[in-house]
Amino acid sequence: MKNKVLDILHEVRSEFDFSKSSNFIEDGMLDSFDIVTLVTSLDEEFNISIKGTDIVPENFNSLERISTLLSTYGVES
Amino acid sequence: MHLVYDISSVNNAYSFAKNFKKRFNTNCFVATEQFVKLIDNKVLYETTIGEVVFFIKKNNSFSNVYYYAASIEELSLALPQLIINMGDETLIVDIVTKDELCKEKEVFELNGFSSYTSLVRMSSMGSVDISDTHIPTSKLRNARKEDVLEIHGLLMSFFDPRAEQLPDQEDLLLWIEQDSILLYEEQGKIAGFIIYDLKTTTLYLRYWFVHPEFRDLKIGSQLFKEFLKRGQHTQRQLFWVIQTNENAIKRYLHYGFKAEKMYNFVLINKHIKYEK
Repeated sequence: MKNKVLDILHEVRSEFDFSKSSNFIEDGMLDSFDIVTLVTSLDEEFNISIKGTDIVPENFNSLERISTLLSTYGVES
Repeated sequence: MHLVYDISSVNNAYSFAKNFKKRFNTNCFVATEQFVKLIDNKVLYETTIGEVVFFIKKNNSFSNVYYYAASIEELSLALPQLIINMGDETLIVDIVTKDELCKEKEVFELNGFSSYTSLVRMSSMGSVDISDTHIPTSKLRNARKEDVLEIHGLLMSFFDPRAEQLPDQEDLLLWIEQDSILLYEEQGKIAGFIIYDLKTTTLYLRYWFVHPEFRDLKIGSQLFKEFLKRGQHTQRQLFWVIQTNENAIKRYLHYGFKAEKMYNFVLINKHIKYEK
């Protein structure tokens, strides 16, 4: 699952190496537009619907946090 | 339409529109902390029409419209009702998109909106190459708290709040604390400034201004070179520019920036021209 997430992150912002950052938001790699795009891609890729209450920057600031979020929707790691 | 009291309204609107699974659509990319501030200031209103939740941000002479729609089709069904409900109010909608011919824009145009202005995002990649000729002058300095009123006054006088989200004094103070407002002083006055966000990988230019009295004195380039120097270790440098501002775009191209396929269409429901 993490590799798929990395692929999606790369599609959203191809210029960054997300595997080297521990805080995508603070490092300026993702902005609010990117997060909405990312949510749509994650919904489609994993056939889930991430709730609005989960769409907060803290849930998308690292690969670990995104994986944890996805696991709450039943996506296996 | 009712006042929004809690940020959960925004999150719920997101869930509401997504749950229809009809290719959800939004123009709302406002950061959570900005929303919280609008709620605290009691200027954010909400109304649900069909499968669309609209948020209305009230300003002095106009309102910004944000939507969370189940689909573009649902947006086109709900929008006429919103317009009726809003009466004679001047409405501004910002549509940020990667598609120059986006359908949301068409929906608003079919309902009486027209283009007020449009912006394009420009960026450059890789670490910044600083010109050897850049020797910062002593007239450049970081803004201090006591500069807030003057900077705010210049923003209000020379920028258009309909076309750009302008910071208030509280926002300016936060930037000052981060040393993110660079000033150029001339004859005891602020002749120009640059406001920016510097993150580990990204340098984001927010506002770049040179007072008309001090133009053609290379103040803008002094500010810009110093700004680039401060972000020289970032991987991406970016900003939004008004598409009709050909002189600025030429200058940015000269500095190695390229226009991205990322647009912000600002639409208005009145016959008011962008003149700044």
